[in-house]
Amino acid sequence: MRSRIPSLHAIDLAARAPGPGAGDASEPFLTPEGIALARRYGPDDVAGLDFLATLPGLPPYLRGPYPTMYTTQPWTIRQYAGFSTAEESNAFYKRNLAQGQRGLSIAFDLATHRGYDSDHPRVVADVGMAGVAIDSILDMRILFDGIPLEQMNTSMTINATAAWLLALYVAVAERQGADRKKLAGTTQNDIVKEYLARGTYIFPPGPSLRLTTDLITFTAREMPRWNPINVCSYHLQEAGATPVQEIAYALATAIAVLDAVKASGRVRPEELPEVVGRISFFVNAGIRFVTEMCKMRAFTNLWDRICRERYGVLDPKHRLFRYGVQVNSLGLTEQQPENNVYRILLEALGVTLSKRARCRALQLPAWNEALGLPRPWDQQWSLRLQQILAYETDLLEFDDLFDGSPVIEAKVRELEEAAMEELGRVESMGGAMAAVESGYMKARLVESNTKRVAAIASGALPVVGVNCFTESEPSPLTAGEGGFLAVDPRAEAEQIARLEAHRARRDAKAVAAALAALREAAQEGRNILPPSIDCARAGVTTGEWAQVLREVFGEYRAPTGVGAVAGVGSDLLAPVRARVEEASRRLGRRLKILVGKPGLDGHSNGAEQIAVAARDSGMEVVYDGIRLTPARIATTALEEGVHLVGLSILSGSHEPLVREVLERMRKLGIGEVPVVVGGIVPPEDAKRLLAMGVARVYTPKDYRVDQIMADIVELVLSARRKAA
Amino acid sequence: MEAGGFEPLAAPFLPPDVEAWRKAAAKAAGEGGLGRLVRHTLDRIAVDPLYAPPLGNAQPVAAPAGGWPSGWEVAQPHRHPDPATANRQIREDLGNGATAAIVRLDRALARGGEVPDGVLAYDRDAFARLLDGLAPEQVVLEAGARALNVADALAGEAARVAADPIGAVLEGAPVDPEDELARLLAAMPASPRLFLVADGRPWHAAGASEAQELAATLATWLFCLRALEARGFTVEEAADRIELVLAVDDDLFLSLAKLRAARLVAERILEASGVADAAARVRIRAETGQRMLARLDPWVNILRTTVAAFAAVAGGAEAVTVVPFDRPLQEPSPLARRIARNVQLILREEAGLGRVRDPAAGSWYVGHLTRSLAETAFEGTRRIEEEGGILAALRSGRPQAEVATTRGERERLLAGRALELTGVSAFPTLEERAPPAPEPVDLEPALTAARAALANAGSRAVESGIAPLPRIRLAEPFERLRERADAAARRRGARPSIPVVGLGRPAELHDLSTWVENLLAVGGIGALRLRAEGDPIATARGAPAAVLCVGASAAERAAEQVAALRGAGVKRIWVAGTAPASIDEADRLAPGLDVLAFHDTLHRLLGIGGEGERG
Repeated sequence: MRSRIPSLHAIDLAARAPGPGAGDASEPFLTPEGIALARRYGPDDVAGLDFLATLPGLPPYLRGPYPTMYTTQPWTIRQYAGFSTAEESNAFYKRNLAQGQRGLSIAFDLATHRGYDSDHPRVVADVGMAGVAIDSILDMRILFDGIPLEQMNTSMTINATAAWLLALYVAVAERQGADRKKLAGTTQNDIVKEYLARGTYIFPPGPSLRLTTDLITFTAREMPRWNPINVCSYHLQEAGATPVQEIAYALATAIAVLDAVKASGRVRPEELPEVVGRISFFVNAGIRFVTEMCKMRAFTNLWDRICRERYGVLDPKHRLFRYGVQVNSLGLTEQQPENNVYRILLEALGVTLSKRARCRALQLPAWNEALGLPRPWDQQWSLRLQQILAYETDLLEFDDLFDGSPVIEAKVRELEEAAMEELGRVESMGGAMAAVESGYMKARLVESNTKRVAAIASGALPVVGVNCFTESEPSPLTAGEGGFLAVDPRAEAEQIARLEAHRARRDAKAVAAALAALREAAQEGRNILPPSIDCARAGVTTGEWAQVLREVFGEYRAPTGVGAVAGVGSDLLAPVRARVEEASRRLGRRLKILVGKPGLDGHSNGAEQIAVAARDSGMEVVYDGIRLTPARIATTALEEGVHLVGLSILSGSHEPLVREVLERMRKLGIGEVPVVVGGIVPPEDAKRLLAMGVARVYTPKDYRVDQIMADIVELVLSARRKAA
Repeated sequence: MEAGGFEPLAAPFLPPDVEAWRKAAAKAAGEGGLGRLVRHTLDRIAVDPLYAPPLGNAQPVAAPAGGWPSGWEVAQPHRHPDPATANRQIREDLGNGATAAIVRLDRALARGGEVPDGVLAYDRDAFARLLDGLAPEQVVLEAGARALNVADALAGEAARVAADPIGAVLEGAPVDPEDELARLLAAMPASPRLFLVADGRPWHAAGASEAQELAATLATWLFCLRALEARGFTVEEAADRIELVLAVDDDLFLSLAKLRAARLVAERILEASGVADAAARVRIRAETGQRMLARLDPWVNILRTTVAAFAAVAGGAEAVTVVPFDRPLQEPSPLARRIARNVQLILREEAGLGRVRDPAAGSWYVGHLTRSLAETAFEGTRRIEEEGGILAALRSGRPQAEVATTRGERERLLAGRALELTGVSAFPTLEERAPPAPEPVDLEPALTAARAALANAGSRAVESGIAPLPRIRLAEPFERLRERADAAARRRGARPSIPVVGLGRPAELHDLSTWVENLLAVGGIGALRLRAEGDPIATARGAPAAVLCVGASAAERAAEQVAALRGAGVKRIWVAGTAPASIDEADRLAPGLDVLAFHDTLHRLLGIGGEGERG
């Protein structure tokens, strides 16, 4: 039998292949969109598709935007790295936008707040830590890439460099083709509370107020939908302000700003009510929630009066006290953190119960904020509280619950009277700016906080789970390793690389010209915004912009407020005082400590309280305020011959900063001087700090200042024994 | 939808400006121009960066007609030596989504080996335990050269038996394949469940190129086809009794095109032989290749097999086998078998890969690869035919030698990392996480029974006269490096490390230092990161070797830093980054360096044994 299989040489592979195989009887698949899929597709199915002949990198770009796509440039591999970079934040905004959210809220890192570029030596370890780093228009463009700014409402938490960030925002928006008249949003732009509490100021009060005014008058004309300032009493309470101080200093700030706007002559009298109406407030709500509610009613009444009497605002709409709230996170405890959920709820009630003085926006902290950076779930838990309050309860069905209540009205009147008295005192000193420069307001805040801390330590002010009812079943909620968000350390290197590339690419002549124009405007008192927008377009960096203004306006260090406070809570410290005397005798001179705040973080409460308590205990204290470089701290420790160095860091950068201080101290030959650290330090980090050579780590749960003082005496003496 | 009934979408933009594209593409390509973007496979097939009608490289290509059944067979591999354990695992897989079991029977013991390489089934009792309660259609016994004995033992009833004398010989089985085949052919008319396999896996495992694997497999298939026809089977009957088995790997498009090319050639041969329904008579099983599996960072194997399984299904295999990811390390654990099943179930149920036949048809790129592979493979098959068929060719050793050349080329690409193995030669992790171990099973009873059965049967070892193929895994050279370093780390209580000194600004050093750190980790060596601004000399003093990372801003300080390190007694200093001209070429670390040679040198310097000490 002859084989049917031919020699392969007799087979032409290119001949038409056999027709389709056995038919398939299965039903066509129907996609959820209702598209029927055939079992097989062939040339007939694409006949008439004209775009098959298109090429990538050319219109209509159906085969991709670049001519060679991944054959020359692989796609970017990116992983979640917190929101420390412009790209991460942009992706986050886009997700929100996709869900219909039109509000953007932007937090900036400390370098941006302080007007430094990311590669400035002062900002090491702070880049991208507490927010996004913006070095130039390049970062701003990445941040808002694909976000239609004309349709957004953008809230920027920025103060000393607010004019610059707004300039960048306008430049980017206009590049997108947006009309600046349609841009809506808010700049925080409240410099007073920076001097008093938060510490991210740059210039002296006078020039700072001028920048604030420039921004307000610019937006009044050019950006009518912009809220140029958000007066913050929030941070004052965090710094220890009593309700009366909170009302008085916030109102004093608003008055200082409005007076300056009026005096600038850039706003016509008939425009003033509009400007007044654009001012909003950001307040704090504490745990004494009935008083807090009364505080809000007092705020509302007083603001109405000031608007009417001082600025002649007739339209009640423009006299509304518009405020947002973040409830108090100072009062949240590290011990039994689950109790914070109740605290947050009660604090939320304080600003929502009374319809007449209800907040416009409410922001709640996470229950475990005192322990570390909260995770998304923790924040969601807080959001649920608001949702239950708004949707499940009947709160919103009623008119004001307290109108006519004699008890409430009496309390409100009491607060109003005391606040007006304090406001009058500030006015008589020449207003808020003068009271900043003299250190008056700061000293009052430090004093209030010292009293509060002493009251907690003595038990006079009960804090459940901290100084009473401290016995607890083990908590199933407390997180171990991995319970908190971590920031990717690579972000800093990437940011610096981008900045260097940007500097190399831009037109140096245009940059120099824009900076010269900025300098002239600053010197001649013209509005800083228009030349700043030109700087933004030319590619000027944040550091360069701020440097020009530093040269014109000078740099400022605010009074620490520590020197003016004395003898508060002294009973508690009596036993320590005796031991300090004894130790000083043995040391042959007075026990001397240095309290330092390295890095850019300006939250100085902790450092101030330690400085005050140490002095009250009889120690000699060196405290030069916030934002010292590790080098300066080490040198000061050497020059002053201190027995112990205390470092306070709340920004999360404790590891690199502490390491650097320790290294520098060793190099200077004072490695044996004990170093203690205080701040928000998660337990795993604390272990690492101790391993590094730190003698003690204190966190918010160490509320007994007297014990910390006793510790310090012991550490100094044992270091001396070791040396001997 | 009717042809021609489309809205013109691109009309306002047509005709495309080919010159504009060429210019833009050449600019993007940079030095070397567009030509730089044309790459070549190991079969010297050129791959353009873009296929498009205006470029003249988008040809309509005939697609194979068969393949792409609406539901392919989810064929799970089994090889546990203990028959009862294997039976339990088969039942578990079949009960959880697998539709067939491919059971490899042990051959090692028959060859006098000690360690079984499949199920120890040498007597009726063992088969009874292996096949207990299983449907015959669902089980395929891969019996290699033992198929006849196995078919005898089962009386042709309890399972399908895959016979593969040629594959067995390439594995080193001591049989005469011609003799074996003759006896099989004689038995096949009476044993309907006995079938022949033309197996590409030994070729793939030896490092063959796609066309080499295809040519040998198609020649084997053709050889079996002719042999069956000579025994009186019609070509149709013959084709139905042969299965093509091909390996798929993580080169997605080449694997996909390889399956399409195999089908195209086989269909064409059947058609030329007068088979009317040629398309229905070619059956291909695709298995994820073991060549690509790594013992290091074995979890990445899951991703590799997922890509390969996608290629298998999109390439039109009738049956697909996913090898569990821990196979190079151990008898697969329940977790690994579960993932192997679920990869396929996800492709079927969630990815919907079976909804449309030949989904890659119409892609000019896949068409180009398919045609090129089919033509090259067909040429290779012709050549084997000219040499007198697959057995004659194998006796001459010519195909094995050609594969050895390709293997050498692959090894060079791997050493220079032009071919990267993620988790092995690129982005390795020094904190390996071992997959869970399977429960230990006492193999002694099964081994005793197997030895007794083999002794009774008596063995008849014959010289096959054919050089067997080696089995490689691409990661092996790197695994040897790591084993050496890991052993040293265990002995010394700390991982051997060398100083990596950064000279320059942090921003320019970040990527560079990470690159060096990864390079060192490939050989199991740790990096002690130091900064030139600190006091690196104090730490590096007396180190056997060090790497200096130089940023562009600090290039002029490199020579001075090298001298300082040398002065501190560092024997060998490599420089990465912007090295000045004074640095010798051999002392530079840059992409493309021979990683294996580098680590051999480094290991010797660190006293953890070089290539010479092995074995």
